[in-house]
Amino acid sequence: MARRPPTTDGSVGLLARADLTAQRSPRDTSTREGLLVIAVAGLVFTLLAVIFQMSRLEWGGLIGAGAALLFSALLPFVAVARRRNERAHPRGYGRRLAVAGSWAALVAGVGGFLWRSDLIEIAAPAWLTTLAALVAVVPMAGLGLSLVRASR
Amino acid sequence: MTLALARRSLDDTVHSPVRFCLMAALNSVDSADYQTVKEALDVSYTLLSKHVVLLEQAGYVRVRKDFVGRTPHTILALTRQGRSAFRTHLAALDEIVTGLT
Repeated sequence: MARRPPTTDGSVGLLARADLTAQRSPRDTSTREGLLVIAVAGLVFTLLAVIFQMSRLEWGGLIGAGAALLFSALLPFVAVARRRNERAHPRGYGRRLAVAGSWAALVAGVGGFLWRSDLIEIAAPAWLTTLAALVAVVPMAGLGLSLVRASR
Repeated sequence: MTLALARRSLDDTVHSPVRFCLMAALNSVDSADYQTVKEALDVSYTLLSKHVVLLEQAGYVRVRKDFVGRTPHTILALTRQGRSAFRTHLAALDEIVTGLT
């Protein structure tokens, strides 16, 4: 269906206005949901940072197991709470959340291969593995932050 | 597009005031919870439910129900088909308001 060009007085048609409106964040996002998304990112960051450094830590196995246990225990509660606090999501939110989750999984896989698989010998300074863990969760934390910002 | 063609492009399922507002609200977001939509439209639960069911049956709206304790927490979102139908309807309205000019 052909779309009319904007009129000379600068006003645009309904369809164009609907498209423009959809680019804005809705008013009714949930601060709590945003904070819970950031909490999930925090949990993933902690787990990855510990796991990437496990082999270099004294009692690394125990600390790694503790971190994994804590992660497994807390994640379901945070995920359920996030779902319960869902309100309006801006356009493209679901796709961005899926991309952020896939990105975290990809970095976890690459980091695990580099620093945990023993298939290759590569230096694992704490700053580098922590940075990798941070890079893994930045998109997810950003998404949570965008929900918090939009709600204010 | 002619006025007659635009008239025929209007979708009866979308055209009711409540359904049109509901679809406009959902078109502006990825998804929204039932309570937010209800407050934005200022309609009763019963009326909103009735229209949501009609749009769901037409394949325009997807409904996801969770429970917070015993209270349902319902999330509404437009389907791809729903977004397309809404856009077609808006384009037809755009054409119609130009009248005979």
